[in-house]
Amino acid sequence: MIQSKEILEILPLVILAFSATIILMLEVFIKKSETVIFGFSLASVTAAIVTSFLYLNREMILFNKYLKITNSAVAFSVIILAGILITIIASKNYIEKEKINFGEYYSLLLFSVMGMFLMIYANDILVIFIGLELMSICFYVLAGFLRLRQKSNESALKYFLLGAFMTGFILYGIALIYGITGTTNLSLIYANPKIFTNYVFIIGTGLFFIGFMFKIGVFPFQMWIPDVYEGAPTIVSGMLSTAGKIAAVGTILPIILSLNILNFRIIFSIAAVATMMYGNVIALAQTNIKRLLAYSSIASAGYIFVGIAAMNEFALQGIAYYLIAYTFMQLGAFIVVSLLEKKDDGSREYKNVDLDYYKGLGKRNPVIALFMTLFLFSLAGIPPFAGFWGKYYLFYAAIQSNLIWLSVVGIMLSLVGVYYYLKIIVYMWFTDSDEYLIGEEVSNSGLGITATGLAVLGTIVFGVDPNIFFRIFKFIIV
Amino acid sequence: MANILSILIFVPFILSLPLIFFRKEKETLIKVYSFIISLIPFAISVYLFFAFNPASGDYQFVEKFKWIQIINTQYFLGIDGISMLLIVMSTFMFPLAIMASWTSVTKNHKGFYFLLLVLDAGLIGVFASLDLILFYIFWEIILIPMYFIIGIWGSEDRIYATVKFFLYTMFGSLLMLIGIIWLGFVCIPFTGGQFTTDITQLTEIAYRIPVDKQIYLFILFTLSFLIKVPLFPFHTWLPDAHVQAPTAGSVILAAVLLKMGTYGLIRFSLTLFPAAFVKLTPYISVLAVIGIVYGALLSIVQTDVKKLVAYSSVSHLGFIVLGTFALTDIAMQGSVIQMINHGLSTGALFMIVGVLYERRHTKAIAEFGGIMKIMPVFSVIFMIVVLSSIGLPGLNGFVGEFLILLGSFYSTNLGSNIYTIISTTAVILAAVYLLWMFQRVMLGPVENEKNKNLKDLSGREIASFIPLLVFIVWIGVHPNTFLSKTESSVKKIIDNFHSNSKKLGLEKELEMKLSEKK
Amino acid sequence: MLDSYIPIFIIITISALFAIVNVKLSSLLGPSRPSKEKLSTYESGVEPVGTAHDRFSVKFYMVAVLFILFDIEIVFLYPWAVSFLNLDHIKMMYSFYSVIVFIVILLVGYIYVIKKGALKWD
Repeated sequence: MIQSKEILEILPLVILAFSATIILMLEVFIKKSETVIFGFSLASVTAAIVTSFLYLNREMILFNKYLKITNSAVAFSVIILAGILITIIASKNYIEKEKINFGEYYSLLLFSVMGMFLMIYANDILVIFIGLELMSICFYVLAGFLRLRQKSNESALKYFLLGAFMTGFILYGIALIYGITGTTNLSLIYANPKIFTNYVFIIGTGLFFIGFMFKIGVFPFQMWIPDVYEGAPTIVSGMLSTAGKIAAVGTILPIILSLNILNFRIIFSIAAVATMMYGNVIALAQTNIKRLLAYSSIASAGYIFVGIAAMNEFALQGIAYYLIAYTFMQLGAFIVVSLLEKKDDGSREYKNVDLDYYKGLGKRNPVIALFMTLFLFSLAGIPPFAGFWGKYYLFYAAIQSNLIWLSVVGIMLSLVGVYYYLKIIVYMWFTDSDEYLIGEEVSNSGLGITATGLAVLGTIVFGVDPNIFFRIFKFIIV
Repeated sequence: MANILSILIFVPFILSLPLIFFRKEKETLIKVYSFIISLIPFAISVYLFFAFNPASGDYQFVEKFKWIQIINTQYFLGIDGISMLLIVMSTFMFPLAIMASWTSVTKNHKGFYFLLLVLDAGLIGVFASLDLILFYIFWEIILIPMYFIIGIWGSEDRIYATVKFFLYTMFGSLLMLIGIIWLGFVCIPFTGGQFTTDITQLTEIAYRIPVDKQIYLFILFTLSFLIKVPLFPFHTWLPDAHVQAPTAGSVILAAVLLKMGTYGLIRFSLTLFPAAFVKLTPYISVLAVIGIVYGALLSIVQTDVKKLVAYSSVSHLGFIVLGTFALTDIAMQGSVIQMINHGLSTGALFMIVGVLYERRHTKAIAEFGGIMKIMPVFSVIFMIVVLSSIGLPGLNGFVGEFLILLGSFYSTNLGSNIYTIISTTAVILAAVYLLWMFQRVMLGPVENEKNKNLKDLSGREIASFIPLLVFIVWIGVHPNTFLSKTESSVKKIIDNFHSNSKKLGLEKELEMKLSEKK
Repeated sequence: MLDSYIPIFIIITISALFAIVNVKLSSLLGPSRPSKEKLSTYESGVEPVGTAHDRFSVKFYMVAVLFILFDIEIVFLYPWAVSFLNLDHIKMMYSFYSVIVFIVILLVGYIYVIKKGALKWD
């Protein structure tokens, strides 16, 4: 029986939904509404973060068993919101610079977050699907938001076509699961472990996971990532690679842990190795920083899958920790790229996104270069930054499951990753370039620098005191 | 002074932060400030040296806090004789390194001295950590300042050298990270169900790990140390890094960074995995001997002074590894004192190369000749340092090498004295390459016009060499000041090894080796 | 387990065969006498003018998409309206407010569309 007061139990979702629609109204009724909308969306995301904490340690099943609030779901949603908060702060200057300063941008962002929340809080496969579609459709639009730029259009179209194709997989998987179990409710499915060995069920969940592996960017479903991240507006790429990925991981992780599919661990392990190898090795040859970060995000998906292959209790915490570290460092790196990007001059290409541009950045703009260095060291997994602990916990989980080979292979592939992160650092600090002028790039982007500062803060705080995260989110599985 | 070690670690780091706010133009102020800051940890470590109780082999000045409960990691510091000496040595080297880079560093002073001080803090942390995770963090932190020091202030090929240095070290340390986690899990049955990275706890239980697993863990740990030492065939990063690094970088790299590897061998590889240590001794000692001779031979043919010193490091460090693997009190004592000696002598040699380079901007031996007549004070210092590095009795190098060779000659663990016999040749080779180098650089007529107007050492430079010379002679004449500090710690490690191996039945294996020898 | 699907497979096979066979039969058996008139494009008996590939204004799509959007939302209201009276009191109120929210969202969308000028023709 649904009760009206249940609406209070999902306040963050309600807040996001309301503010997303109100933003649309603000956009059409107020002239020069950009600053108002910016402030409003900032406030609503903050409110959503604060209210999310209300549901910590309160396991609940709501809305006719359609939604389920668990600690891990709250943790993932807070991580997403943290990422979105930084994204919004960094967006304002960027979309002004690129002349796409429309209120719809924020609205789409909030709607996509709402979709992510639905996915994470879902206790029913169909709700997951609705959330996924809501998120994806917003993403398609956001990827093409720079509509006058060819790359951005290409990115949106590619993303849309492949995403729609993969949605087909998910739907087909859901149909098979429903066909064999007679329900779409996850609690009921978990309650019937006999069905887990049924091959129709296995194919169904397999197809379902394939769809999500596409969203996470796991080999062999990673081919869209570089093109989409390269073409999408830089901040949006950062958001796609963090929040979008976290939502997908946060959705399937509890499912994988509940389904007890240890027999398929080898598949996840192989996917992890292939993804890390693909991401890290191809990234070596990149000359465009956005593509490089895209490949590094593929590699990160591989590390996440090391944790997923571990399939133990610690994996959930390890992955959650990795994701929060990843949010700060990856998003931070993308924000830095967006800060350095050249102001829109009507051209159809992104300017200043070549690696060559980073030559001598340490001299031209030491603060930005220092920030970027911190993010890259963190991505490379060097203590005392958050990325180190993220990787540490993932490999900890893997070794706990006795996957020594996977850990050794994974850590060696991450060494390959260290090389291309170092390459950027070498460019920034050890080489000079006469081509570019000092300080031309980051004029008038106080908010962007604030956002980067927040990301730096997160990277360092979660690196120096890794305990803080576990104090906040005491996990209870599923 | 309950948390003196924390103070020691964080003082250089926290006090280096104000450097960021200094005006760029005030170079002298920056230098003086960082010099004074670098003296503070030295003063504290001198206090440690005297406050340290040499009668006990236990860890002293222990600090222990819970840090990350979920993985049972502690903030756990403490030192025994070995780490105490190494801490004193590293804090001692930093003021000298700063003096040595007074005029040789010409750009971005703020960054340079800031990174040096961070490096100082990290090195103290490495030697003082008693939790594997904490140790690993300090071990990795060191990479960052060293990477930038070589990369920004190095010479032409610095980027290649620094990236190579970084990747080599990272390769080893990543494997060590896997080893640390795995070790924690393997030990769970012995700790009563708890994952731990506490070294004191692991020392007591880790020997019970099955031998096959011990060997894997040993390799994961030791590879990282051997790369850092560096042992043949992992040494190729060293000459590049040394040659390209600025003087201060080379000094710290040779004097302290390489000791992290040998320290790790004693502290972790030996104490945690005694069975694997015995099993793999033949392979590693062969590598050590090859390194000793190979490094010496390569030194002879070098045409670049700095490269020559770098390869001589490979040779000298081989002795230390051999001494460690000999597993006798005497050899181990020799290894520890040789770590200090190598730090002093090679550090001094790199500073000498720095002096030459600053004056002539070349390191090629052929460019010099007859410098003795132009720079008499310099030549005296040079001579003493060279003799100390060769191992002349009465100077420090002799003490360490003699103890190592003596201890390893009758070592049961090595099983044969052939290692020692071959290694001894390197002592002769050392005399060859160092004296020949000295002869080509300092003696003979002054043929190169450019050399005629070289200035002798300035007061600051002499001041930076004097402390080194004092200790070179001190250790040579009265090594007991230092040996007595490490004696009980070394004894405890060896005793611990023997009691553990008795429990494992390793004694038989050792006896077998002994009987084969006879 | 798949037994229950067998009739479906049979039906699929039969219908596929039926379609293919009929199409093939008509082309095989039927007389084929093409002429110019027969091959020309059929446009309601009027002479065909210009090419069939014409560009439309994007406004047509806009209107079409918006139409479908609101149309489907209206369709959603039918089942609700039919079952509304059969509910007990509490559920009735609940569903009433739910639909109010639904309509409000629609309204917001509608206002947005109007204000953005998506329905303006010029």
